[in-house]
Amino acid sequence: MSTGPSDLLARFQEGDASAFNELVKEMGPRLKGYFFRQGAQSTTAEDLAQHVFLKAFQSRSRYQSSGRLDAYLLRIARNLWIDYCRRRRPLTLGESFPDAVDTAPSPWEDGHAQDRAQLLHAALGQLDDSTRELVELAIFQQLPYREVGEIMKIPVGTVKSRVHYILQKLKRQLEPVLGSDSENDA
Amino acid sequence: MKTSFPEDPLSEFADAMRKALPDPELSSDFADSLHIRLQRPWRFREALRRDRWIQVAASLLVMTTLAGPVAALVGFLLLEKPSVPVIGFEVPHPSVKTEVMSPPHWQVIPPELTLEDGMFSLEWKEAVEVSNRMAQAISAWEKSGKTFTQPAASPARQSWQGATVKELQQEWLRRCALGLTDPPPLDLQSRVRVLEKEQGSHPQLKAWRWTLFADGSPERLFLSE
Repeated sequence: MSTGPSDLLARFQEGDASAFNELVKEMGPRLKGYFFRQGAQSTTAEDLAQHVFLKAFQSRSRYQSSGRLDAYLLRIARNLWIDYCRRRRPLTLGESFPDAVDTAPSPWEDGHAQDRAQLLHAALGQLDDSTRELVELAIFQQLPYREVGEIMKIPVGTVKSRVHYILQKLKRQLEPVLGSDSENDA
Repeated sequence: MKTSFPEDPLSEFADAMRKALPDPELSSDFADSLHIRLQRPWRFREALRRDRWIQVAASLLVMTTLAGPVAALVGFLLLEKPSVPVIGFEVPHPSVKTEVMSPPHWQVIPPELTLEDGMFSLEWKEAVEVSNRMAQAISAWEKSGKTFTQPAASPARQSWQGATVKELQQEWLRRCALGLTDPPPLDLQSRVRVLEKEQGSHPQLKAWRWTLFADGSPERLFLSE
């Protein structure tokens, strides 16, 4: 894709309808992944991702193209997820993460990959909400530390140290699984 | 300042994490359902949530709707209740006529007899006239401001047949001092008549002459004293 997300929304603000479709194609999986890794079911994650686009569409006149659009959309997603968690009863591990019985179709086809994904998903589920969100934004969404700090309202230095600490912890916990896979791939 | 850790084992582990748990694919109808939701017809709740002018209009509508009942409730709770009207009528307070106390001033109003003596006897008429003249005499005495030089006492008599001029005079003065306007007994009247016949117009009996026979005037009774 030649244009970035910010350009897409700017084009859409100028009346280019196809720009919104491109934006959805580019950011849709990331948003669905955000909600899924936060603990939402697959269908719920997709529904919430659509809500993010709806909110972005409704508030498109207030968006200033100076910032990163993916950070803007992830900020909307974060607020939506917080609202969603407030409305429903508190999350428990057994209900939200796929190490328990999950009747929703899994997004991964390969059996071995599915095992690794479930293990990693379960490990993420054992983290507290703030840490899991930090991992999501900094590692999976690969936002700059500055953006992560702004979204989570914590200093950049804190973001860096916490990300480093969490990665070390997860590595100790998951390296036997993920490391063997990477060795096999190699 | 991205989360890349070049030449860092943590960077490789982060890549492995992303690879192990990649972003899931969207369902095939994701774009279509999103398009439908974007083109959803206008709904009041959504418009109310988004449009500031609709929020203002709705607020005004709610306020004007509630203003009447709220004002009535506040009026009912806070304002004074009207006093219960008294059933009946109120008599206006009459102006009190105070009688100004003044020095005694007797004004004798003579009786007006419009009927003949058939209804009132002549004795009664004479008794009233005697009483009025006595009252006039008392008033004249009070106007004169004179005092009696001797005690206004008279002997207690069962009969005035043998009374002297002096005793009769004292009796008149006693009556005058006490303000008695009752007609004197008949034997006193007859005794005054007898003495008048025997001794002529005795000056000490001039008060009785005025009182009983209307001879003279009350103003002159006390001039010579």
